[in-house]
Amino acid sequence: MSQSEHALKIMGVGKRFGVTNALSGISMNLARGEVLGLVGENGAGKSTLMKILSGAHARDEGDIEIDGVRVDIRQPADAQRAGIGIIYQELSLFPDLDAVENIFIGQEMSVGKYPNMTVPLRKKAMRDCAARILNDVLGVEIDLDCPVGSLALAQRQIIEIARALNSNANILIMDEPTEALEKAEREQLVRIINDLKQAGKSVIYVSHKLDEVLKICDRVVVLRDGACVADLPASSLDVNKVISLMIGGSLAKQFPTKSSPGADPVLKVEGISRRGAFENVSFELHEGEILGVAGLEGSGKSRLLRALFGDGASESGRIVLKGRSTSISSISDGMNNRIAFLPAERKTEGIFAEHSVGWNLTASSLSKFGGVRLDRRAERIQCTNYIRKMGIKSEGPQQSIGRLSGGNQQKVLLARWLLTEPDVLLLEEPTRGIDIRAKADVYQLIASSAQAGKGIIVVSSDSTELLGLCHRILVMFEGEVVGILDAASASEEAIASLSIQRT
Amino acid sequence: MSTQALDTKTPVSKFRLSGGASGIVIALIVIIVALGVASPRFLSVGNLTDITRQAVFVAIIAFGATLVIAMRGIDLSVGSTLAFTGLIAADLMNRGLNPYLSVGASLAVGTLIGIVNGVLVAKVKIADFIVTMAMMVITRGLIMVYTEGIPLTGLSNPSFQVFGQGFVGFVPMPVLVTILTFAAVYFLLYQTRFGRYTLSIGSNPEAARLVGIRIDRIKIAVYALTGYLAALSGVLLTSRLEAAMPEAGEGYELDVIAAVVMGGTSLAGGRASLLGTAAGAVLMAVVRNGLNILNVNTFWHQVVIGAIILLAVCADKFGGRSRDT
Repeated sequence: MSQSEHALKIMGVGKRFGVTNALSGISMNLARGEVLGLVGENGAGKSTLMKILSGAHARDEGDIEIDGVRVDIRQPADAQRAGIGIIYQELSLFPDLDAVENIFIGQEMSVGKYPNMTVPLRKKAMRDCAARILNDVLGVEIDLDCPVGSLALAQRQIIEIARALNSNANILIMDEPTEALEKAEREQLVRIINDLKQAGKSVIYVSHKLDEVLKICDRVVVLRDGACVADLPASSLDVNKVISLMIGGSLAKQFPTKSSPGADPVLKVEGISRRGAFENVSFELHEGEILGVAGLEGSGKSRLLRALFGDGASESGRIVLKGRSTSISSISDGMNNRIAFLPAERKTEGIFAEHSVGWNLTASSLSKFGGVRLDRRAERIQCTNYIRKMGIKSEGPQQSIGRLSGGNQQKVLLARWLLTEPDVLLLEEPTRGIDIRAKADVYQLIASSAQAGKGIIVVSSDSTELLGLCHRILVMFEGEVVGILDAASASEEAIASLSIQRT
Repeated sequence: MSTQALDTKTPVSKFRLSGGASGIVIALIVIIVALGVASPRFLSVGNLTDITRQAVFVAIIAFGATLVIAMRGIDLSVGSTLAFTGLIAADLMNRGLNPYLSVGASLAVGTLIGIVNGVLVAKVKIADFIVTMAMMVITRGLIMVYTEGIPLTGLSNPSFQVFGQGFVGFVPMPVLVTILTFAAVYFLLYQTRFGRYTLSIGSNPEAARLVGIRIDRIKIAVYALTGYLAALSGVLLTSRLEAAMPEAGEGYELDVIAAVVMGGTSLAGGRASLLGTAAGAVLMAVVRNGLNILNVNTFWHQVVIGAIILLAVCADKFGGRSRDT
């Protein structure tokens, strides 16, 4: 329809927030049928750039061309009209509506020529159209009648893609699309992206998972400190090269050296079950050992971890802590037994956003600080210690935690639980959504806790992380343990094939 | 500067007001000056004493409600509880019970009402709005059943009168009680684990649960405290009027919420300003008093109060105090 070879052309785009330059002089192109990887550390400007393209922010300078035509994107409706669709990291669907209603939200088909909010809807036509997009274009089967809130995350994401396609988007921006997906679902997404590419759609793929970016994308653009530092074909890059471009130097080592675990089991789990969550789970965790737990979403890995903390406790079986048989039926039991739990969802389950770093750090060990009246002096001293010890970048205990980066928030939450002096640390997705340097720091902190003799269990959907960090990896499938692998000899493929129980 | 600084309340800034609360103090000063100019009678000692006397009944309850709202809760039953407990004290005394025991029983009943609210909210998990609204209607209904709408009078026992009418030095008893209550709740809110937990629940209930806070216990305790304070206010009011009025405290729930929100405590929970609440309670009394002095038709009073509440909530929303992400 147009003679320009570029689906999207960005020329010298910049954005300032107050005195800081979030983006400056960004120029790049996106060809039709191209998948472009956009990478950079947190704060490098990726999300600002995407927000400019999707109309959430207005740019301060520069021009944007779509199919050779200059467009002015000032709000989300402009982006939609220009054919840009964005699939957010935090899904923006309406959980109580079904797939059809979600796909057509805001662009319902109605009877008659003049669209009006009170005209009857053409439900059958919308349903057929949704089914066509999902089945034929995307090649997936999704129940069209159930509320999307009850669908799996991967299916919800596909519905978002369908919504973008339905609004005639030619450029799809995907923000960390695989962050919370399991391997099989990731593969499905990769297939869909390839199909979209064949159909002439262009994709901007934003992710922290560099190996994936290199596999999926044709070209990779690296942002650093708001500027574009590299624009290279994916085939000419490898993960280490991308990392050094991102951080502008080289990272010594991502995973710390593993120390060998002690002989004594700190936790022994014998045949614990909880109906509908996990069944007959047994394992031993030794002092100083880091045990990984792998499995698909819904395999029971998170339910198991939470049950050990006392949240949705196990209904039968035996738990032996340091040689003493014990029962853990509530969170208080878990904490009294010196078990600590770091939840996956930092924002909704972790931080108290209105409050300070110190407040957040001591939240689970306030009884250490004075009787009736809190001893705030002791609290502050302890917080300052931990901030230094954990390498938390902040202005001190009184700074609001909302102002810290995700990685530093995660360190505060880790400190919160180390302060309780636990014997067993349960970590759920400990590095989700934090940047590379912070990841390496968190791995280091986990390793040194293990060295101090704590038993650590890490649930993660990132098998590279499990292999690099853990001593052994327990794999779950449909609530049962289907294998315990030695990390030294295991591979991502071995974990994956156990997780989906296909040989 | 901050030797014990841990959170936003450092020792130096302990009495400094957060964004929302400094707004209320400015508003209060502006209104007082304006009313002083408009009517010379407004700043007379007698009138200022009247205002203080009016403010205390709302203020005492609002101190408790500050914790409720900071915990993301709401309590609509406080006005009825005030009347109900006032009636209990009056009735027991009329039946010849010792005034102190009568007051004690009244405070116990108020606490109990709070506990029932708290249990229904925290354990049975019914929406706080519904629970406390039902409780408001039930207790008011019981009052009407018992009194048939006729005030209970004749409370001339001097050892009861002292609560609402006595003086300690030159300070009226109700004002002294309010100051002591303020100090106690202030200590509870800012200096103890209980206060920290209350704010944590309001800030992020799920995170609070996962750090081992027994949310149900804290909630019940906060509602119990508010019920107790409503009863305390009820005793003071009954003693001051020497009568238990069936319609006492009607609409107090709104005045209380208005005082708390105007004082800078966020309806979204997680933050509380007790000093702001005190200023809010005074502001409500000042406005009502001002409207009287300026001879504004009583029917307009509600319109003005409602508008002030809306303004306060808008200020909360647009005052740059939106939740950090």
